[in-house]
Amino acid sequence: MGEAVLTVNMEHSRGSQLPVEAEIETAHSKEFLEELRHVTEVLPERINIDAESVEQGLAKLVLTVIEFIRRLLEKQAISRVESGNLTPEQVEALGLALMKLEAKLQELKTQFGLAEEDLNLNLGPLGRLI
Amino acid sequence: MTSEELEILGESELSLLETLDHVLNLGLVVAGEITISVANIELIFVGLNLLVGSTETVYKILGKRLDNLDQSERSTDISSD
Amino acid sequence: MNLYAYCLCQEMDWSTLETVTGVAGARPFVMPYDGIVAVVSKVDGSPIAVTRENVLSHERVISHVFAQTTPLPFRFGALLRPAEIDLYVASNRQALLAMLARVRGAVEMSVKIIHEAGSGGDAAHGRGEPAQAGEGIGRGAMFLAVKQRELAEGKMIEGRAREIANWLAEHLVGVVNDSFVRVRPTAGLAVKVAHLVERRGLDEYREQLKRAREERPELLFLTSGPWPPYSFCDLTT
Repeated sequence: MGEAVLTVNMEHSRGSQLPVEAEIETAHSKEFLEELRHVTEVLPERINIDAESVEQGLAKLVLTVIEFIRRLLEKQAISRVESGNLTPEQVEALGLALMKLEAKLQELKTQFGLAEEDLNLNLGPLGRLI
Repeated sequence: MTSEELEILGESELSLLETLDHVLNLGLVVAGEITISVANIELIFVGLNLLVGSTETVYKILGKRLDNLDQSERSTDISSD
Repeated sequence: MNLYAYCLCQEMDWSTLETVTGVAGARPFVMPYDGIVAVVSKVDGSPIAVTRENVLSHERVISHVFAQTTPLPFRFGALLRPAEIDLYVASNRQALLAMLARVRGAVEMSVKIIHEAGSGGDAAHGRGEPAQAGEGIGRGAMFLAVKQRELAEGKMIEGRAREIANWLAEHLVGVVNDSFVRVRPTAGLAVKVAHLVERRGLDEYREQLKRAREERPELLFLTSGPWPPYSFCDLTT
Protein backbone atom coordinates (compact mmCIF):
# COMPACT_ATOMS: atom_id res chain seq x y z
CA MET A 1 0.00 0.00 0.00
CA GLY A 2 2.96 2.34 0.05
CA GLU A 3 5.16 4.11 2.52
CA ALA A 4 4.12 5.86 5.66
CA VAL A 5 3.73 9.43 4.56
CA LEU A 6 2.10 12.46 5.99
CA THR A 7 -0.97 12.66 3.82
CA VAL A 8 -2.71 15.86 2.92
CA ASN A 9 -5.71 14.62 4.81
CA MET A 10 -4.00 15.20 8.13
CA GLU A 11 -6.33 16.92 10.49
CA HIS A 12 -3.61 18.80 12.26
CA SER A 13 -0.60 20.80 11.27
CA ARG A 14 2.50 18.84 10.37
CA GLY A 15 4.04 16.94 13.18
CA SER A 16 1.82 15.04 15.55
CA GLN A 17 0.50 16.58 18.67
CA LEU A 18 0.92 15.05 22.07
CA PRO A 19 -1.72 12.48 22.92
CA VAL A 20 -4.58 14.12 24.74
CA GLU A 21 -5.76 12.65 28.00
CA ALA A 22 -9.47 12.79 28.60
CA GLU A 23 -10.13 15.04 31.54
CA ILE A 24 -12.95 14.50 33.95
CA GLU A 25 -14.69 17.30 35.75
CA THR A 26 -17.36 17.17 38.39
CA ALA A 27 -18.23 18.80 41.65
CA HIS A 28 -19.97 15.62 42.80
CA SER A 29 -17.46 12.78 42.82
CA LYS A 30 -19.28 10.81 45.47
CA GLU A 31 -22.59 10.71 43.65
CA PHE A 32 -21.05 9.83 40.33
CA LEU A 33 -18.77 7.19 41.84
CA GLU A 34 -21.82 5.46 43.18
CA GLU A 35 -23.50 5.65 39.80
CA LEU A 36 -20.52 4.70 37.68
CA ARG A 37 -19.85 1.57 39.68
CA HIS A 38 -22.79 0.14 37.78
CA VAL A 39 -20.50 0.00 34.75
CA THR A 40 -18.76 -3.02 36.15
CA GLU A 41 -22.09 -4.77 36.43
CA VAL A 42 -22.14 -5.16 32.69
CA LEU A 43 -19.03 -7.32 32.82
CA PRO A 44 -20.81 -10.52 33.85
CA GLU A 45 -23.08 -10.08 30.85
CA ARG A 46 -20.20 -10.02 28.43
CA ILE A 47 -18.41 -12.92 30.04
CA ASN A 48 -21.56 -14.98 30.04
CA ILE A 49 -21.99 -14.48 26.36
CA ASP A 50 -18.53 -15.82 25.74
CA ALA A 51 -18.50 -18.67 28.16
CA GLU A 52 -21.99 -20.05 28.18
CA SER A 53 -22.81 -23.54 27.06
CA VAL A 54 -25.16 -24.28 24.21
CA GLU A 55 -27.86 -25.37 26.63
CA GLN A 56 -27.67 -22.25 28.69
CA GLY A 57 -27.64 -20.17 25.55
CA LEU A 58 -30.83 -21.79 24.39
CA ALA A 59 -32.45 -21.36 27.79
CA LYS A 60 -31.50 -17.72 27.74
CA LEU A 61 -33.10 -17.27 24.35
CA VAL A 62 -36.33 -18.97 25.30
CA LEU A 63 -36.62 -17.29 28.68
CA THR A 64 -35.96 -13.88 27.18
CA VAL A 65 -38.84 -14.29 24.80
CA ILE A 66 -41.11 -15.52 27.58
CA GLU A 67 -40.06 -12.63 29.79
CA PHE A 68 -40.84 -10.22 26.98
CA ILE A 69 -44.30 -11.69 26.57
CA ARG A 70 -44.84 -11.71 30.32
CA ARG A 71 -44.15 -8.00 30.51
CA LEU A 72 -46.50 -7.35 27.65
CA LEU A 73 -49.22 -9.33 29.38
CA GLU A 74 -48.66 -7.40 32.57
CA LYS A 75 -49.02 -4.08 30.79
CA GLN A 76 -52.14 -5.23 29.00
CA ALA A 77 -53.63 -6.45 32.25
CA ILE A 78 -52.97 -3.12 33.91
CA SER A 79 -54.67 -1.16 31.16
CA ARG A 80 -57.65 -3.48 31.31
CA VAL A 81 -57.90 -2.92 35.04
CA GLU A 82 -57.58 0.82 34.53
CA SER A 83 -60.32 0.75 31.90
CA GLY A 84 -62.66 -0.41 34.66
CA ASN A 85 -64.29 -3.09 32.53
CA LEU A 86 -63.39 -5.97 34.79
CA THR A 87 -65.20 -7.29 37.81
CA PRO A 88 -63.25 -7.54 41.07
CA GLU A 89 -63.19 -11.30 40.66
CA GLN A 90 -61.69 -10.98 37.20
CA VAL A 91 -59.06 -8.53 38.42
CA GLU A 92 -58.15 -10.90 41.22
CA ALA A 93 -57.91 -13.90 38.90
CA LEU A 94 -55.78 -11.95 36.41
CA GLY A 95 -53.45 -10.73 39.14
CA LEU A 96 -53.00 -14.20 40.58
CA ALA A 97 -52.23 -15.67 37.17
CA LEU A 98 -49.59 -13.05 36.46
CA MET A 99 -48.13 -13.48 39.90
CA LYS A 100 -47.71 -17.18 39.29
CA LEU A 101 -46.17 -16.56 35.90
CA GLU A 102 -43.61 -14.21 37.38
CA ALA A 103 -42.75 -16.71 40.11
CA LYS A 104 -42.42 -19.54 37.60
CA LEU A 105 -40.12 -17.55 35.40
CA GLN A 106 -38.00 -16.65 38.42
CA GLU A 107 -37.74 -20.34 39.21
CA LEU A 108 -36.59 -21.15 35.69
CA LYS A 109 -34.01 -18.38 35.75
CA THR A 110 -32.57 -19.79 38.95
CA GLN A 111 -32.55 -23.30 37.53
CA PHE A 112 -30.42 -22.19 34.61
CA GLY A 113 -28.26 -19.88 36.67
CA LEU A 114 -29.37 -16.78 34.83
CA ALA A 115 -29.62 -13.37 36.39
CA GLU A 116 -32.08 -10.62 35.55
CA GLU A 117 -29.65 -8.84 33.31
CA ASP A 118 -28.77 -12.01 31.42
CA LEU A 119 -32.15 -12.06 29.80
CA ASN A 120 -31.96 -9.76 26.91
CA LEU A 121 -31.48 -9.89 23.20
CA ASN A 122 -29.56 -7.40 21.19
CA LEU A 123 -31.56 -6.87 18.06
CA GLY A 124 -28.96 -4.63 16.44
CA PRO A 125 -30.63 -1.53 15.03
CA LEU A 126 -33.83 -2.34 16.91
CA GLY A 127 -32.04 -2.04 20.18
CA ARG A 128 -32.53 -4.45 23.02
CA LEU A 129 -35.63 -6.57 23.35
CA ILE A 130 -36.23 -5.80 27.00
CA MET B 1 -5.06 7.64 55.08
CA THR B 2 -5.69 11.34 55.15
CA SER B 3 -8.92 12.66 53.74
CA GLU B 4 -6.91 14.26 51.01
CA GLU B 5 -5.40 10.93 50.04
CA LEU B 6 -8.84 9.38 50.11
CA GLU B 7 -10.05 12.11 47.82
CA ILE B 8 -7.28 11.41 45.33
CA LEU B 9 -8.11 7.72 45.45
CA GLY B 10 -11.74 8.46 44.77
CA GLU B 11 -10.82 10.59 41.83
CA SER B 12 -8.66 7.88 40.36
CA GLU B 13 -11.40 5.35 40.69
CA LEU B 14 -13.79 7.80 39.09
CA SER B 15 -11.39 8.33 36.22
CA LEU B 16 -11.00 4.60 35.72
CA LEU B 17 -14.73 3.99 35.82
CA GLU B 18 -15.43 6.79 33.40
CA THR B 19 -12.85 5.27 31.03
CA LEU B 20 -14.45 1.86 31.45
CA ASP B 21 -17.84 3.31 30.68
CA HIS B 22 -16.54 4.26 27.26
CA VAL B 23 -14.27 1.40 26.27
CA LEU B 24 -16.26 -1.52 27.62
CA ASN B 25 -19.57 -1.19 25.80
CA LEU B 26 -18.99 1.25 23.00
CA GLY B 27 -16.78 1.23 19.95
CA LEU B 28 -16.61 -1.02 16.92
CA VAL B 29 -17.79 -4.56 17.53
CA VAL B 30 -16.87 -7.46 15.31
CA ALA B 31 -19.18 -10.46 15.46
CA GLY B 32 -17.46 -13.53 16.79
CA GLU B 33 -14.53 -11.71 18.33
CA ILE B 34 -12.92 -13.31 21.35
CA THR B 35 -13.35 -10.89 24.11
CA ILE B 36 -12.94 -10.32 27.84
CA SER B 37 -12.48 -12.26 31.03
CA VAL B 38 -12.22 -11.75 34.78
CA ALA B 39 -14.50 -10.78 37.63
CA ASN B 40 -15.45 -7.16 37.91
CA ILE B 41 -14.33 -6.47 41.45
CA GLU B 42 -10.74 -7.24 40.55
CA LEU B 43 -10.55 -4.26 38.29
CA ILE B 44 -11.37 -1.70 40.90
CA PHE B 45 -9.48 -3.61 43.53
CA VAL B 46 -6.34 -3.82 41.45
CA GLY B 47 -6.57 -0.18 40.63
CA LEU B 48 -6.87 0.87 44.22
CA ASN B 49 -4.24 -1.59 45.32
CA LEU B 50 -1.72 -0.14 42.96
CA LEU B 51 -2.43 3.31 44.24
CA VAL B 52 -2.41 2.49 47.90
CA GLY B 53 0.11 -0.33 47.99
CA SER B 54 -1.50 -2.19 50.82
CA THR B 55 -4.31 -4.70 50.78
CA GLU B 56 -5.45 -3.91 54.31
CA THR B 57 -5.81 -0.23 53.60
CA VAL B 58 -7.79 -0.96 50.49
CA TYR B 59 -10.16 -3.13 52.49
CA LYS B 60 -10.53 -0.42 55.07
CA ILE B 61 -11.43 2.05 52.40
CA LEU B 62 -13.81 -0.20 50.53
CA GLY B 63 -15.14 -1.37 53.83
CA LYS B 64 -18.90 -1.44 53.48
CA ARG B 65 -18.87 -2.38 49.82
CA LEU B 66 -16.78 -5.49 50.33
CA ASP B 67 -18.91 -6.60 53.23
CA ASN B 68 -21.56 -7.35 50.70
CA LEU B 69 -19.35 -9.74 48.80
CA ASP B 70 -18.89 -13.43 49.33
CA GLN B 71 -16.20 -14.36 51.79
CA SER B 72 -14.80 -16.78 49.23
CA GLU B 73 -14.59 -14.15 46.52
CA ARG B 74 -12.66 -11.95 48.93
CA SER B 75 -10.01 -14.49 49.69
CA THR B 76 -9.50 -15.26 46.01
CA ASP B 77 -8.82 -11.60 45.35
CA ILE B 78 -6.25 -11.38 48.10
CA SER B 79 -4.20 -14.21 46.69
CA SER B 80 -4.15 -12.91 43.15
CA ASP B 81 -1.87 -10.01 42.20
CA MET C 1 -1.93 -15.73 15.31
CA ASN C 2 -4.24 -13.45 17.22
CA LEU C 3 -4.35 -9.73 17.01
CA TYR C 4 -5.60 -7.21 19.50
CA ALA C 5 -7.50 -4.58 17.55
CA TYR C 6 -7.32 -1.01 18.84
CA CYS C 7 -8.93 1.10 16.17
CA LEU C 8 -9.47 1.86 12.51
CA CYS C 9 -8.40 5.17 11.07
CA GLN C 10 -7.48 6.85 7.85
CA GLU C 11 -3.84 6.76 6.79
CA MET C 12 -1.50 8.22 9.30
CA ASP C 13 2.15 8.53 10.19
CA TRP C 14 2.59 5.34 12.16
CA SER C 15 6.19 5.98 13.14
CA THR C 16 4.75 7.66 16.23
CA LEU C 17 3.54 4.26 17.41
CA GLU C 18 7.04 2.91 17.59
CA THR C 19 7.57 4.07 21.14
CA VAL C 20 4.18 3.05 22.48
CA THR C 21 3.45 -0.11 24.43
CA GLY C 22 0.10 -1.73 23.99
CA VAL C 23 -1.86 -4.51 25.64
CA ALA C 24 0.30 -7.31 27.09
CA GLY C 25 3.35 -5.18 26.49
CA ALA C 26 3.22 -5.69 22.74
CA ARG C 27 4.19 -3.07 20.18
CA PRO C 28 1.31 -1.86 18.03
CA PHE C 29 1.61 -1.89 14.26
CA VAL C 30 -0.68 -1.17 11.33
CA MET C 31 -2.47 -3.15 8.68
CA PRO C 32 -3.27 -0.96 5.70
CA TYR C 33 -6.41 -1.35 3.57
CA ASP C 34 -6.44 1.43 1.00
CA GLY C 35 -7.85 4.46 2.73
CA ILE C 36 -8.41 2.63 5.99
CA VAL C 37 -5.77 1.46 8.43
CA ALA C 38 -6.15 -0.96 11.31
CA VAL C 39 -3.99 -0.49 14.39
CA VAL C 40 -3.27 -3.82 16.08
CA SER C 41 -0.80 -5.70 18.21
CA LYS C 42 0.01 -9.39 18.69
CA VAL C 43 -1.38 -11.31 21.62
CA ASP C 44 -1.78 -14.92 22.64
CA GLY C 45 -5.26 -16.38 22.27
CA SER C 46 -6.78 -16.05 25.72
CA PRO C 47 -9.53 -13.52 26.42
CA ILE C 48 -8.23 -10.18 27.58
CA ALA C 49 -8.55 -9.61 31.31
CA VAL C 50 -10.31 -6.43 32.29
CA THR C 51 -7.55 -4.98 34.41
CA ARG C 52 -6.59 -1.42 34.96
CA GLU C 53 -3.36 -2.03 33.10
CA ASN C 54 -5.00 -3.47 30.01
CA VAL C 55 -7.67 -0.81 29.88
CA LEU C 56 -5.08 1.94 30.10
CA SER C 57 -2.90 0.26 27.47
CA HIS C 58 -5.88 0.08 25.16
CA GLU C 59 -6.56 3.76 25.69
CA ARG C 60 -2.89 4.72 25.39
CA VAL C 61 -2.47 3.29 21.91
CA ILE C 62 -5.70 4.87 20.72
CA SER C 63 -4.67 8.23 22.23
CA HIS C 64 -1.50 8.21 20.20
CA VAL C 65 -3.47 7.69 17.03
CA PHE C 66 -6.02 10.26 18.20
CA ALA C 67 -3.27 12.87 18.44
CA GLN C 68 -2.97 12.76 14.65
CA THR C 69 -6.32 11.73 13.32
CA THR C 70 -9.69 10.79 14.74
CA PRO C 71 -9.95 6.99 14.76
CA LEU C 72 -12.89 4.66 15.18
CA PRO C 73 -11.94 2.76 18.32
CA PHE C 74 -12.72 -0.92 18.77
CA ARG C 75 -14.56 -1.99 21.87
CA PHE C 76 -12.10 -3.09 24.54
CA GLY C 77 -11.10 -6.72 24.25
CA ALA C 78 -11.39 -7.33 20.52
CA LEU C 79 -9.22 -10.31 19.61
CA LEU C 80 -9.27 -11.26 15.98
CA ARG C 81 -7.37 -13.24 13.42
CA PRO C 82 -5.92 -11.23 10.52
CA ALA C 83 -8.42 -12.81 8.14
CA GLU C 84 -11.28 -11.64 10.36
CA ILE C 85 -10.04 -8.09 10.25
CA ASP C 86 -9.68 -8.32 6.46
CA LEU C 87 -13.25 -9.50 6.22
CA TYR C 88 -14.59 -6.90 8.62
CA VAL C 89 -13.00 -4.01 6.78
CA ALA C 90 -13.93 -5.36 3.35
CA SER C 91 -17.56 -6.03 4.16
CA ASN C 92 -18.11 -2.73 5.98
CA ARG C 93 -15.95 -0.57 3.82
CA GLN C 94 -18.53 1.99 2.76
CA ALA C 95 -19.99 2.35 6.23
CA LEU C 96 -16.53 2.69 7.76
CA LEU C 97 -15.44 5.33 5.27
CA ALA C 98 -18.65 7.25 5.92
CA MET C 99 -18.14 6.98 9.66
CA LEU C 100 -14.53 8.14 9.39
CA ALA C 101 -15.65 11.13 7.34
CA ARG C 102 -18.27 11.91 9.96
CA VAL C 103 -15.84 11.97 12.87
CA ARG C 104 -13.00 13.63 11.01
CA GLY C 105 -11.67 16.66 12.87
CA ALA C 106 -13.98 15.97 15.78
CA VAL C 107 -13.84 14.50 19.26
CA GLU C 108 -16.32 12.98 21.64
CA MET C 109 -17.26 14.88 24.77
CA SER C 110 -19.26 13.18 27.46
CA VAL C 111 -21.89 14.65 29.75
CA LYS C 112 -23.57 12.74 32.53
CA ILE C 113 -26.34 14.25 34.58
CA ILE C 114 -27.79 13.07 37.85
CA HIS C 115 -31.10 14.49 38.81
CA GLU C 116 -31.41 13.77 42.51
CA ALA C 117 -34.87 15.17 42.84
CA GLY C 118 -35.83 12.91 39.98
CA SER C 119 -35.13 9.72 41.86
CA GLY C 120 -38.72 8.61 41.84
CA GLY C 121 -39.91 11.75 43.56
CA ASP C 122 -42.97 11.52 45.73
CA ALA C 123 -44.21 8.30 44.32
CA ALA C 124 -41.13 6.43 45.50
CA HIS C 125 -41.79 7.34 49.10
CA GLY C 126 -44.73 5.03 49.20
CA ARG C 127 -47.43 7.59 49.22
CA GLY C 128 -50.76 6.09 48.51
CA GLU C 129 -49.52 2.71 49.62
CA PRO C 130 -52.30 0.30 48.73
CA ALA C 131 -54.15 -1.44 51.55
CA GLN C 132 -52.90 -4.81 52.65
CA ALA C 133 -54.30 -7.84 50.94
CA GLY C 134 -57.19 -9.21 52.89
CA GLU C 135 -58.83 -5.89 53.61
CA GLY C 136 -61.16 -6.39 50.73
CA ILE C 137 -58.34 -6.56 48.21
CA GLY C 138 -57.04 -9.92 47.08
CA ARG C 139 -53.41 -10.86 46.51
CA GLY C 140 -53.91 -10.84 42.77
CA ALA C 141 -55.38 -7.36 42.74
CA MET C 142 -52.61 -6.13 45.00
CA PHE C 143 -50.00 -7.55 42.69
CA LEU C 144 -51.48 -5.63 39.79
CA ALA C 145 -51.77 -2.45 41.83
CA VAL C 146 -48.08 -2.59 42.72
CA LYS C 147 -47.13 -3.20 39.12
CA GLN C 148 -49.30 -0.35 38.02
CA ARG C 149 -47.57 2.02 40.37
CA GLU C 150 -44.12 0.84 39.28
CA LEU C 151 -45.06 1.42 35.67
CA ALA C 152 -46.29 4.92 36.39
CA GLU C 153 -43.17 5.79 38.34
CA GLY C 154 -40.97 4.49 35.58
CA LYS C 155 -42.76 6.59 33.00
CA MET C 156 -42.46 9.68 35.13
CA ILE C 157 -38.75 9.27 35.67
CA GLU C 158 -38.20 8.56 32.02
CA GLY C 159 -40.17 11.66 31.10
CA ARG C 160 -38.01 13.77 33.39
CA ALA C 161 -34.86 12.33 31.91
CA ARG C 162 -36.02 13.06 28.37
CA GLU C 163 -36.85 16.60 29.35
CA ILE C 164 -33.33 17.09 30.63
CA ALA C 165 -31.84 15.61 27.48
CA ASN C 166 -33.90 17.92 25.28
CA TRP C 167 -33.07 20.97 27.37
CA LEU C 168 -29.37 20.23 27.07
CA ALA C 169 -29.63 19.65 23.35
CA GLU C 170 -31.23 23.05 22.90
CA HIS C 171 -28.35 24.71 24.70
CA LEU C 172 -25.81 23.08 22.45
CA VAL C 173 -27.35 23.60 19.04
CA GLY C 174 -24.67 24.73 16.64
CA VAL C 175 -21.69 23.57 18.69
CA VAL C 176 -22.43 19.89 18.41
CA ASN C 177 -22.25 17.88 15.17
CA ASP C 178 -24.05 14.88 16.53
CA SER C 179 -25.14 13.42 19.81
CA PHE C 180 -25.93 10.05 21.29
CA VAL C 181 -28.27 10.09 24.25
CA ARG C 182 -28.95 7.34 26.73
CA VAL C 183 -31.72 7.88 29.19
CA ARG C 184 -31.75 5.67 32.24
CA PRO C 185 -35.10 5.57 33.95
CA THR C 186 -33.92 4.58 37.39
CA ALA C 187 -33.11 6.66 40.39
CA GLY C 188 -29.79 8.42 40.02
CA LEU C 189 -28.20 8.83 36.65
CA ALA C 190 -30.81 10.38 34.46
CA VAL C 191 -28.98 11.12 31.26
CA LYS C 192 -25.78 10.12 29.57
CA VAL C 193 -24.93 12.08 26.46
CA ALA C 194 -22.07 11.78 24.03
CA HIS C 195 -21.45 14.81 21.84
CA LEU C 196 -19.48 14.86 18.62
CA VAL C 197 -17.72 18.21 18.69
CA GLU C 198 -15.25 19.69 16.22
CA ARG C 199 -11.83 20.25 17.74
CA ARG C 200 -12.01 23.87 16.63
CA GLY C 201 -15.33 24.31 18.38
CA LEU C 202 -14.30 22.91 21.77
CA ASP C 203 -13.95 26.25 23.51
CA GLU C 204 -17.39 27.37 22.48
CA TYR C 205 -18.83 24.00 23.42
CA ARG C 206 -17.34 24.26 26.90
CA GLU C 207 -18.67 27.77 27.23
CA GLN C 208 -22.22 26.76 26.31
CA LEU C 209 -22.04 23.79 28.62
CA LYS C 210 -20.93 26.03 31.47
CA ARG C 211 -23.93 28.28 30.89
CA ALA C 212 -26.25 25.30 30.90
CA ARG C 213 -24.85 24.08 34.20
CA GLU C 214 -25.35 27.47 35.78
CA GLU C 215 -28.90 27.63 34.59
CA ARG C 216 -29.94 24.50 36.46
CA PRO C 217 -28.04 24.14 39.73
CA GLU C 218 -30.29 21.32 40.86
CA LEU C 219 -28.70 19.04 38.26
CA LEU C 220 -25.40 17.31 39.03
CA PHE C 221 -23.00 17.27 36.11
CA LEU C 222 -20.03 15.15 35.23
CA THR C 223 -18.25 16.09 32.03
CA SER C 224 -15.30 14.34 30.48
CA GLY C 225 -13.32 14.37 27.29
CA PRO C 226 -12.02 14.64 24.76
CA TRP C 227 -12.49 10.97 23.94
CA PRO C 228 -12.09 9.14 20.68
CA PRO C 229 -15.61 8.68 19.27
CA TYR C 230 -16.60 5.42 20.99
CA SER C 231 -20.27 6.36 20.92
CA PHE C 232 -20.29 7.01 17.21
CA CYS C 233 -19.18 3.62 15.99
CA ASP C 234 -22.53 2.03 15.33
CA LEU C 235 -22.34 0.87 11.74
CA THR C 236 -25.99 -0.04 11.63
CA THR C 237 -27.22 3.56 11.74
